[in-house]
Amino acid sequence: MDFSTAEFWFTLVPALLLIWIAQVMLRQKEVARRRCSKWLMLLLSLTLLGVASLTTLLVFLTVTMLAWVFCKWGERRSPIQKRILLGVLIPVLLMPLLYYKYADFLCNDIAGQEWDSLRDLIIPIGISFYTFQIIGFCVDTLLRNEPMPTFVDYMNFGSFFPQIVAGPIERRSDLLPQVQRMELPLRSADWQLGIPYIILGLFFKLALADNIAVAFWNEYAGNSAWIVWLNNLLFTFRIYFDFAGYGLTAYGIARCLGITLRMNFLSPYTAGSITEFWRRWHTSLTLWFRDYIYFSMGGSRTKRWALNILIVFTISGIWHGAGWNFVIWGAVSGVAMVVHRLFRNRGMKLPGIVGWGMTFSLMVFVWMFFYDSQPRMLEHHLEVIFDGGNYDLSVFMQELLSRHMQGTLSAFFLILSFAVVLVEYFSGRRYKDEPYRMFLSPMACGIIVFLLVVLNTSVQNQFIYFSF
Amino acid sequence: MKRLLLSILLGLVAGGVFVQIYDGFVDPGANCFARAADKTDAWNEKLRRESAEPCFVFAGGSEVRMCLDPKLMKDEFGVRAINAGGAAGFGMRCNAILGVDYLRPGDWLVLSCMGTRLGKNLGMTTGGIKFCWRRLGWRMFNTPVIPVTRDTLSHVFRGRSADLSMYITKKMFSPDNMFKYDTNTVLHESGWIENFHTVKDGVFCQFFGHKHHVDSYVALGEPMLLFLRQLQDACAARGARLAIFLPPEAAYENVRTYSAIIAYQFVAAGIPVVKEPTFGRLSNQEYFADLTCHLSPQGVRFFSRSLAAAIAQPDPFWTLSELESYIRSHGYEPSGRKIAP
Repeated sequence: MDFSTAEFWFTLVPALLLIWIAQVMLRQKEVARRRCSKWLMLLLSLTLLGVASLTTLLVFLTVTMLAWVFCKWGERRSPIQKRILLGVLIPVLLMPLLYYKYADFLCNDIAGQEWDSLRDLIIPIGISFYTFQIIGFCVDTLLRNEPMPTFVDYMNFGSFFPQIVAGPIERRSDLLPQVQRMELPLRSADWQLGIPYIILGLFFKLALADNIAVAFWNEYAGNSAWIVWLNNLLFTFRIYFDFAGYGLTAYGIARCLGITLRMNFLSPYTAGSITEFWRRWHTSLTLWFRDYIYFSMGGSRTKRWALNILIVFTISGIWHGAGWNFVIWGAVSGVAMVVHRLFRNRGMKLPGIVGWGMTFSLMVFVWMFFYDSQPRMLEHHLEVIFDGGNYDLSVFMQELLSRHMQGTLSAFFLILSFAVVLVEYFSGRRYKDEPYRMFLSPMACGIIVFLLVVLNTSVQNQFIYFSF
Repeated sequence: MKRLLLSILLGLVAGGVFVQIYDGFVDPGANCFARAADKTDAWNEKLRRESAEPCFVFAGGSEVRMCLDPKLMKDEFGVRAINAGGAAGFGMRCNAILGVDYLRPGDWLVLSCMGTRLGKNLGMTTGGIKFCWRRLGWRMFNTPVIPVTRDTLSHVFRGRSADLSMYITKKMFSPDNMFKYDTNTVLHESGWIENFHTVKDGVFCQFFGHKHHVDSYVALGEPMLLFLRQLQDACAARGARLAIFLPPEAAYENVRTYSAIIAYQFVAAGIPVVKEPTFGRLSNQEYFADLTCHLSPQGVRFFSRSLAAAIAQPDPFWTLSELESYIRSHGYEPSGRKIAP
C-alpha cells in the first residue's frame, strides 16, 4: 500500500469508481447505500492489504478477529473480569508483533542463539500500527465500557486503508464514529480539501525524501566528522519528509472519503523545546504511549515521573525497531525529555531561537542512533564526531569533491528542506497551529506539482516506516 | 475545485515543458553527445553518398565515442566506420538503439561489450531514454530493444533531480565548466571526440592489477543473451548483422585471457566477435586519457588501427577453435577452469 507507486493509484481509482457507481445505483435507498459503502470500503482495505502480501492480510485478520472475539465475549463481564481478560488479551495480540519483529533480536542478539530462520522473517506491513490501534480499541472498550460496534464498523475501524500501514494510530473515539457514519458520498468539497494534502504528501516523499536518500552517504566509513554530521542532517530531513509525507497523503485520501484522520505531524522541526517536539512528531504514537502507558504508571503525578518518562521513551524506541540502537535512541530521547522537564519545572526557559537551535541540534544527533543499525558503524561514527581531530575542513571538502553528485544533491536539498520548514514556521504563526496551510492553496498546489515533476528522482525508496 | 484542478494541470504542464526544455536544449552532457551525434549523422551521409558499400556502425558508450577515429580507419584501412557511441550512463539498450538507427542493408552493427562490466547497466537509464527520445523520437520504440512500457514512457517525461541540482550548482559556482567534456576535447567531423583530459599520476596506477582476472570471470547471463537476440532481430529487420568488439580498457595483459573467455562465450552464442588481437586490454598508460576506458589521442590511433586492421582482413571474426587455442595456451579452459599442471 505504497502511496508513491503508480500501482496503488491504479488499484484505488477503479475501486473508488466502483463505489461511486454503487452510490449512484442505490441513491434512493439510504440504508442500503450506507451498508454497501461500508462493505465496499472493507473489501477495498482488505484487498489492498492482501495485494501487499498474503501474510500481511492473514496476520491482520488474526489480530483483529482475536480482539473482536475477546471484546465481544467480555462486553457483559464484570469490571474485574474485563481487567483479567485484558491482561490475557494484550499479550496475545502482541504475539505476532513479538514474533515477526523482535524474535530475531531477542533470540539471536540477546539470548545468543543462532536461529537463522528468524533472521529471514519479513515483518508484515503495518503490524506495529494496527496492533497498537486494536489494543487501544480493546482497552477503551473493556475498561472504559464503550459499546461494541457492529462487525463491519469494527473491521473498517481496524483496516481503514489510508492509515493502517503507517499511521496515524487512531482512537476509537475519533475514527469509529466517522466509520459508523460512513457514507462515502465522494463529494467534490471533500476532494477539494483532500487533494492538496495528497499533493503535499507526495511532494514530501517523492521530491524531498527520495532525493535526500540518494544524497545520503550509505555506510560511511571515513573519518570526517563533518560528513557524519552532514549525514545526520540529511537523515533528519529524510525521515521527516518520508514519514510526514505518508501521513499527509493518508490524511488527504481520508478527507477525500469524508473521514478526518489525526494530523500525525505538526511541523516538528519548528519546535522550541524537546517536549514540544514530541507533541508535534508522530503525535498519534506519542499520545498512545501517554494515555495507555505513561498515565497508567502514574504519569507526572508520581515522584517516579522521570523514570516513567524514561521507560515510555525506551519502549517507544523498541517499538520503532528491534536493535540496541533503537533502545539507545529511545533512552537518549527520554533523558532529553527529563532534562527539559527539570529545567521547565524550575521556571527556566530558553529564548525562542536558542531553544529551537538546541532542540534541532539534539534531534540531528539523536537520529544517528536511528539510522545506524550496525553497532560497529554507530560506534565508529560516535568515535569520529567526538574526536576533535576529525573536524578538518580540507578533508571534508576532499570527500565532497570525490562524490560531487552527492555533495551537490545534499546542498540543494538541504536548502530546499530548510525552506520548507521555514514556510511551515510562518504558516504555523499565521494560521494558528496549521503549519501546512500555506501549502494548500490552489496556487501553492500548482507550484508543488511543478516541483514534483521537475525534481523527480528515478530512484524511489519504500516508506521508511513500512519497516516498522 | 476548478481553480485547484486548473492549478494542478498548469503545474503538470509547466513541469513537463520545463523538463523537455532542459533535456532538449539545456542539459550540458546531453548537448555534448548530441553535437557529436550530429557530426556522426553528417559523416554517415557523406559515406553513403560516396559509395553503397556496407558500413560498420560502432555502438556503445563513451568508450566508443572517445576511442574510435572513423576517418583514420577509412583513410588507412578502407574500413567504412561510423562512430555511433553514446555515454555509458545511457545504458546498453539505449546506446545500441542509437547505433541501430544508422543501419542500412549489408551493414554491421558492432556493439561494444566491456568485459569488465558485463551485465551491468544492461538496461536503460532515464538519461539514456531521454537522449534517445531527443535523437530518435518515436523511432526509438521501433524495435524490441526498447519496449513501449509505462516505465519507459514515464522516463521520457520525468525530471532528473540529480542533474538539475548539479546544473544549478555549477551555474552558480563554475559556469565555465558545466560539463567535463566541453573543455579539453575536440569534436572531429567523423563524430569522434578527441579527449585531452588526463589523470594524475599515481591515481591511474590503482586501475591496474585488474580484479577481473580469469578466476573471477562472469558468465554471460540470460538477460544479456536475450538482449543480444533482440538486437540481432533488430539488425536483421534492417538487413544488417550484429557483431561484438571488446573496447579498450586499461589492464595488465594477463587479463586478455579473461577477455578471450568472454569472447568465446559470445561466439558460442552465435555472435561474432571482431578479431582484434589485444582483446581491448591495453597496458600502456600513455594510451589512456582520464578514465580506464577513455583513450588518449595516441591510444585512439593505436586502437583504431588495431581494430580496423582486424576488420579489413578476410576473416575478421574469431572462431571458436582460435579462441580455444588462445585460452588453452594461457593455461585455462574455455569454461574458465585452470588447466591442471
